[in-house]
Amino acid sequence: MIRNLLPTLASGRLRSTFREERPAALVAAVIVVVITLFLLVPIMETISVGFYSEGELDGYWFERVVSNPILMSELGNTTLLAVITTAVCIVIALPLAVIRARYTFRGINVLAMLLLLPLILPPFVGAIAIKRFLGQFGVLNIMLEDLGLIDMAEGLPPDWLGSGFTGVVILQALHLFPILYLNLSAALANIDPAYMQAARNLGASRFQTFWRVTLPLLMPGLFAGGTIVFIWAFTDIGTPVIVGYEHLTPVTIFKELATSEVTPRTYSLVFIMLSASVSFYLMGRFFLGRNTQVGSTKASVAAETTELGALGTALAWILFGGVVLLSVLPHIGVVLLGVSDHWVNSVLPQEYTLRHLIFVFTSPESLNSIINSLKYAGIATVIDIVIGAAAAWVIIRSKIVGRSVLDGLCMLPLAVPGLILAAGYVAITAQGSWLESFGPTENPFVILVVAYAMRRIPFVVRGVSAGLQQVSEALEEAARNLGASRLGTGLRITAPLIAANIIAAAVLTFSFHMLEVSDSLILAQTPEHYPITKQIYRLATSTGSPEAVNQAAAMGVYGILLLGATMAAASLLLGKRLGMVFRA
Amino acid sequence: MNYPHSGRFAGLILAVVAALLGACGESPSGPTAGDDALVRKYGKTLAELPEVKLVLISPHNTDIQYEYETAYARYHAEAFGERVTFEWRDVGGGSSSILNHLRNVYENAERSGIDVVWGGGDFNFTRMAAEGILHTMQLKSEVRDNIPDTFGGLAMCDPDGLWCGSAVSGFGIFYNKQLLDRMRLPTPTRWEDLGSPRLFDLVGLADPAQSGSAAASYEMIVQSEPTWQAGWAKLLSILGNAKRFYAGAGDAAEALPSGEALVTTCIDFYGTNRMAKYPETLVYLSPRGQTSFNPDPIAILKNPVNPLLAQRFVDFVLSARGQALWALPVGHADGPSLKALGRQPIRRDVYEHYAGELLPSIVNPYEVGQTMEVDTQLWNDSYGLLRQLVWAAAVRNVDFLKAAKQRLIETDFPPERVALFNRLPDNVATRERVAETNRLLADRKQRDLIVTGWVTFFRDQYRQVAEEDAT
Repeated sequence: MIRNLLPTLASGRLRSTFREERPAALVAAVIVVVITLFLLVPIMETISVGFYSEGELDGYWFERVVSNPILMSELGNTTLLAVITTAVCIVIALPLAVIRARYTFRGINVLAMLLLLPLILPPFVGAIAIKRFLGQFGVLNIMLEDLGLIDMAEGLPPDWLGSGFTGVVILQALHLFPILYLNLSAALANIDPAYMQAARNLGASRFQTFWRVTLPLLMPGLFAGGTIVFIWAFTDIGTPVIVGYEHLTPVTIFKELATSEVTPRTYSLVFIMLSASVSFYLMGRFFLGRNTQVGSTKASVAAETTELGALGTALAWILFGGVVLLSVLPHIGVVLLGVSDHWVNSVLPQEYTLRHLIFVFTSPESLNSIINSLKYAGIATVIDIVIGAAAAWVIIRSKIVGRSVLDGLCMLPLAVPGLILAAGYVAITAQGSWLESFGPTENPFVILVVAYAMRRIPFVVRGVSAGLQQVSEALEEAARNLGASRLGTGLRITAPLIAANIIAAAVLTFSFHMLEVSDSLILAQTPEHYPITKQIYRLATSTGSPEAVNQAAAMGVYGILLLGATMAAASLLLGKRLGMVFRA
Repeated sequence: MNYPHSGRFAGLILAVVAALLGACGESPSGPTAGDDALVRKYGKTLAELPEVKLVLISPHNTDIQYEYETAYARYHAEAFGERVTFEWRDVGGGSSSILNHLRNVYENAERSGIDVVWGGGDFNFTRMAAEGILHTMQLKSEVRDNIPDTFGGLAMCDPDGLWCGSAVSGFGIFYNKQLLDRMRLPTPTRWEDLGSPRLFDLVGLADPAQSGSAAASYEMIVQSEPTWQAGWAKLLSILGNAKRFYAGAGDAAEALPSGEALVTTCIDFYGTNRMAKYPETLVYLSPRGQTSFNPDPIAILKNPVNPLLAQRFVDFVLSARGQALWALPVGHADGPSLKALGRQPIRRDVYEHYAGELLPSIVNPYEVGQTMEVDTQLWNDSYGLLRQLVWAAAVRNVDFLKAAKQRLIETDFPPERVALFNRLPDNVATRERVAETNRLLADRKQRDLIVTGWVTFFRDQYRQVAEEDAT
């Protein structure tokens, strides 16, 4: 009904467009300035190093990279890896999401929640745990020997981690599939079941309905989530380093930056990688995600779910349980390391202790790092919500020219590896610069919070945009027509309607902030400012002491508990809607 | 929704938190015994003394930091009536990152705000001294008398007092004895044993471009042979057995307890500290006469914030008392308070003075027969170069290297193919060329060209070794 009133209002609106859009233009301008200052400038600082030679602008180092067949083949390799990992993630996530959308069975809520655990694996100790399990003389092979399936006296046991490319794909897929799963769940929940009912009524089989109706409607969601997984896999350093497969561009950059003799060549390589990931993102966006609107056909009725029988439940449990079991092995390993006293050449620890868990509370630095992280992540989340929601509002609700540019700008951080941004912040706050007092050695509070916030803006923009798209503008217009102010409408009408989206975005953003690695390692250099990830890193690499790894794992245990509880609460609150954040 | 078990779960969490808080309460806090002495001497408790701050940058682990911080703070309060607080900078990474960081800082500014740089191998300190970013220290005569200028051919202390060794590190072989036995594999005792075909794909090694201590151990291996070429062949036979290359020497040492590799080379205390924890399973040994001891230096940085305090801390670390802290067990009056550090003091007199009281893993490096005499000239000419060469030949080409070595094993090492495998690029084919090329590496464009050339050279060579038909 309200919709019918729109044409009559249109002529009036046209006249007031300019006045109406002024706030939007202002907000957009502020956001552009913020992103330019805190994202673009630091990135430029970093990559410009690659274009200077003897103090002059020069393409020498760029040419050295482009003409190097090994570096170029690694770039190809990295692209291939990202393609295959994304495909495997789809294969894992699609059936899970479809089953979750169509059926109910005992325990599905618990299993669905456990599926999110890979997203909150603490860094470093997660890697150590994976090595414990899959190392050639690790838990899995010792278990196989105990079961009599292999005999180490007869020959070398299989080296699961040494599987190179395949190993990277498997570990990446087990880590990243929840992003696609969340995304697909959200997309499935938004498909109007009337389409499927119509197809079935017209004689299509179940499979035909899925293939010809559901899947095409899912495409935008699939491509959106796929883009995030793709970029993540493309820029991932941690997983390949665990597996020891290093013919990949990000690993090469990371390793070259870690040596004592860094040449500008490395920064040229950074530029090439950044250009590649931005191009892939844009390609995904323009070619594949074009008809995003199709996906947001708001369901008029809730989809009906079928209760599974005993056999169905058993099969679903095997599928969900299997994926959960594989993907939470690292978490189990972290917990075991955190409580083990003696653990070598055996399946389970030989002796247990609570010493390491207690250590975290008796070590002021460790405890302090948790508090620091809560502070940094909390404030960065608030910044993200403010900027992200404002940007989403401009992008979805305003008609200003260039809002798609704003949209692209807000998505840019997805394609920027953390390492590059961190290096940029180091450069602009270097000794002698006027920003020195915000630098890593003085008080990095500000740059840490800002760096965290910049990197996760896209998730909030996506999450809130998805909400705004689903809330009919007519509701807001009705409020305005009845005399509510712009602010009042925002707070009393729009905000409550998209509250779920904001909460989902906040929870995931907060978790990612808590687990952030690159900025944390490089930008926090004094113990009083360490976030939890840096403290875990410092303990995990404090190699003179054989117990440091266990203490690091204990920190990880608290991380898992903290983020697990947050995630579980959000999941209970929002259910399938949690996935809206991962729209690219 | 209703969650019947949530109450029980919440109860469990409360119980755990309560247990943890209870445990915290037991930790020592409040005024310590040392306070009485301070009150007598200065009329103040520790907390009431004026505060001074020492800023350090160091790759040393938290145990070392804690023990030296505790011992020095107590000593300084009693001797000078001030309360020292420590700030340990960490730039994310090991000694290479620290060197990079300091270079960047001093390129742009006259001061770094850091007083002391401590640990990370003599190579980095020689570089820093040459680049003029160190401050001259005043070393006491009792320190100079007990630390030789050179030992085993290596400088232990800078003649101009820009840096001085604070401990020495040996290098050795660390292995999982239990699993080697179970798999009926030989236990290694000499460097050459690590190159044995039976240990193919079982040795965890560190990347020398990132780890100074790994670089030093590779230099030892090269120098344990009479010629550069023979030394390279020996090193390459070991590199070819690599399961993989870890970023840090510590990661390589940790690969043993975690079950990733069975054997590794490492710095002595990484091995001995782990051996102390798993005595039946893990073994560390130093190949007698095949390794020398490296200094682990301490230095004051250019334009320190607090030069007097920095000098006093250096004096303490190099005093007999400070030296003993490395090697004494917990419980000894001069020993550490929480964890034994298990490192080798650099001062000769400490080994005599505390004879019989030191940890069992501590050996006296100055005893005859332990140490290999290093060729200082070759060391200086090749150390920096070897890091890049190993990186190009092994780290960057690990898959190709392994394939070539596997092929050699399968074909029972035909001499021509072994010769091809061991062939060095022309610019490092002889000692003289090594010295020349090493000088060129100082220029970054040259370095990039040379190292990129090596990567391609070795990749092609390994392909040939792996692909050629057996003759």
